Amino acid sequence: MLTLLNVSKRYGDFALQDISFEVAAGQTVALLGPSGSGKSTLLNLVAGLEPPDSGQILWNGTDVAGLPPHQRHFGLMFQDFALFPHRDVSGNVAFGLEMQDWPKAELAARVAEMLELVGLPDFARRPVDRLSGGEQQRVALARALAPRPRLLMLDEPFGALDRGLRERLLADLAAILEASGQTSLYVTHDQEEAFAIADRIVLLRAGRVAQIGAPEELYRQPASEFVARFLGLDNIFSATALQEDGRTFLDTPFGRYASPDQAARGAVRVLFRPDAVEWGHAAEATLKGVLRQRQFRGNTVWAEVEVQGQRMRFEFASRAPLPALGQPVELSFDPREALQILHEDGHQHQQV
Amino acid sequence: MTFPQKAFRPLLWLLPLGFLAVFYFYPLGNILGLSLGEGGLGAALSDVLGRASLRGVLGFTIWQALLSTLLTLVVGLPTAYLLARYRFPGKGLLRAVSGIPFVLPTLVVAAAFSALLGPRGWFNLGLMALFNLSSPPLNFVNTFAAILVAHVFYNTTIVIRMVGDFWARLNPRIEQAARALGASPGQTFRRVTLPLLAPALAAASLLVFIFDFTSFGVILVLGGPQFATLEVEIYYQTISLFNLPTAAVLSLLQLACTLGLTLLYARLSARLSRPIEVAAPERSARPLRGTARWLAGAWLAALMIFFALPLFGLAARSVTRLDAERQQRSAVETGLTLDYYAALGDNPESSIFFAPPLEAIGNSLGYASATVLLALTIGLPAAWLLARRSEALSSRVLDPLLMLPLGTSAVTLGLGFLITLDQPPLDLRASPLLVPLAHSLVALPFVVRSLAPALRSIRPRLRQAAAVLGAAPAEVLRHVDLPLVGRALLVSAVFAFTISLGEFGATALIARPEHPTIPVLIFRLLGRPGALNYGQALALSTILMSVAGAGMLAIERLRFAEVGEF
Repeated sequence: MLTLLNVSKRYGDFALQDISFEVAAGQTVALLGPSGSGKSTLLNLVAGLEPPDSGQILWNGTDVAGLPPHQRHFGLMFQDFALFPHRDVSGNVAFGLEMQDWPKAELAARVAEMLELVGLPDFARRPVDRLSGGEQQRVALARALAPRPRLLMLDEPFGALDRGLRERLLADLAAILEASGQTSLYVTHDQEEAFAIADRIVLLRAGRVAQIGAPEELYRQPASEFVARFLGLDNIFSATALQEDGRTFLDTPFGRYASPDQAARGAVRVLFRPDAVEWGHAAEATLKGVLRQRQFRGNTVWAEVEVQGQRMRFEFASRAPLPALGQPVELSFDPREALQILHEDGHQHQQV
Repeated sequence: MTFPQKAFRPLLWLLPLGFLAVFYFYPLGNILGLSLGEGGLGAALSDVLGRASLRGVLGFTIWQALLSTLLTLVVGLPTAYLLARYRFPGKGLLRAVSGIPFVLPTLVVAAAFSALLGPRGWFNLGLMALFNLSSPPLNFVNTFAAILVAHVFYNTTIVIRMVGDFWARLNPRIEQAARALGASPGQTFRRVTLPLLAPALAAASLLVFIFDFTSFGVILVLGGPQFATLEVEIYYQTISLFNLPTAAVLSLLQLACTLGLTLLYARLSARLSRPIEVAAPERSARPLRGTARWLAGAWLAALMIFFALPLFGLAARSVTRLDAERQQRSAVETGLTLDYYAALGDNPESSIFFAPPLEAIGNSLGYASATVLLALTIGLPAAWLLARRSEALSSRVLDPLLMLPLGTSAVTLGLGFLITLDQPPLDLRASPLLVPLAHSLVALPFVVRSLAPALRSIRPRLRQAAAVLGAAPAEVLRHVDLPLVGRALLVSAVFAFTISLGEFGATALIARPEHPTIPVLIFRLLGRPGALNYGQALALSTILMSVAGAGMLAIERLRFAEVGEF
């Protein structure tokens, strides 16, 4: 189990501050955040490529500070793969095993096994500069996995690949990590990737932890406006929480609704979940607006509705008939489910 | 994380700096001290320049360099234009062939022209046989023309490559725009193309001028005793007249000129890297048509012959008996022979100053191997320091320092060695290391320039990847750094080896008479009468030409797959 305790690192005018989280055995944790949030720096600290300024990095409770990178037995798969240009595919995969002085026969078997695992059984003798991006990525993965690292770190492993390939490989990677029970730390800026592969997500913002939790937790309960927006939840507006008859209400620009949080008071920021509305006026609360835009997304349809001068995006099943553009529409919802009060995130409001 | 460990760092600095201090700056300091004499620099200079003969030497040095440069431009510019703007078969071959002379040792080139146009060369013997003449009709060797032709032969490739490559990158649309605005082809060239080419033209001309200004072997062998440049005069003053103070003043003069010119060249060539309106060379080249095709064809064919003929002539002459040395001069006996090669083991003069050629080959190989070792030992740490970008100090101080020997004439280096390393604490007169030390100084800039980019090209990522895979620092060095710079190491080794084999200027001054190198022995043999002496000189030259050619070919090949490509 990997444990980070209050790890800090200053880098010019950028700083990682007080990072603490755990990666339990067999788990995959995603370090998620926009570029410049400190993900890769954090990875370098864990790998031992750079020392932290303060804080502790523990493996199974033992501080690894004194261990140089080659003695940590942590695997690291680089964003640009960093394959050795002077070695062929099997030479690259074998490198870590050679460093551990594996006997020849076992080494060869392990290399073959790894190439099999990543779906490149016939590539052993290929020079690495003849490989496509996806193949290089697989070789890099095989190389990182081969020495059975205690922890596998992956730094934006799909960053250099196009979308279709990325989705296929992502599924493969998730299966491989699952099958081998590999403890891993996965760095990405793409929330869909993180959702797809991680058991838990550590969301970073400007060098600090913004939220830690399982993917559903983050999506269902974003801790702050930053988290919500980063996860693509953009229907956010200001409201006033007030009490009437012992119950709390939210005064919004487009109506007064029951508050999901009875303790809220005063000015608040409210998230309107995009997937919690229906056409018509079936439920207790309704909302009137004009349909401005729609986007067909296969199973779902995104509709942009202008309500009181503010545009909000909602998601509907694509089976439901859609009103024409420019038409007034009515939406109904359960305010306790659809509305969510966001906590202060201590930072300036930031559009992500 | 990064090798070498901190404790070794000072050692890395010490090797190249110490080497330069002891074998470059200290000898130069001695030259300065020697030339100051009793009266100081002003008195020494006015004494030397007060002598009409030495003033003449300075004047001739500049005059021949100017004229050679001009002629090189006359031959090179049309060729650069054709290569830049047109597609034609054999383009790559012409480029390659024009580059061969540039890498050949001066003594080989001198021997080649002698074999072609000298009194015992193909032309003269052929004409004598044809027209029943009793003396060589063509007087080429020991003329001013020979110097000029050899310089053009040597340096045209500089103009072709520097100006031609630059020209090929000029967007042809700029010229087309000028034409569309009403400029005639001549006006377009004068008002648009020429100004755009100016930086490349200036840099190429200056480089050619520097080479011509410091030319030594060509002038000594092909020019004969009546022509002396500064470089040759330093040699005469030292070897024949033992007038070391005068030689020292002349060296100082030479050093000031070459360093100044080299500095200027560095400035100019830095400007060349500035981006201009560029187009892919492929797009701007078009096929030749009509009469122009025949004119250009004839020009290029003549050029090919000019570059290739002396070299073929040399190789062919070294295996041909043209026996016109006897009384009946009209009846030239001809025939193929390997006698000259077979005689490489003989000492033609049975004097200790004329070691058998095989011994010279052995000497040269030994010196060259020692040069490789020395130059790499000193060049590797220097390149390592230069490759580390973070250390701005190293690139700002070390880089120009290491390039200094390049801007110093070989004869000056030789003179410095001669007057410095002959007394304690550094009495190396009898040491077999003396020659390799001088050669290492000459080779060092090339070694460092080949190694530094390769070292720089190893991305830190690769070292990190190896480290997280469990490689300790020493293992990273062995499994990542060494294999990746292996090619560059080989390139620098070949550079050092080839440079050492062909070096003549410094060697002529410092090689011990009984241990000549190949070029030194070629020089001596060429100056002797007798068919065997001549034949041996040509055979040695042919061998040297083949080795130098093969070496440079190897370097070109190895460089193609340079590490920094991906």
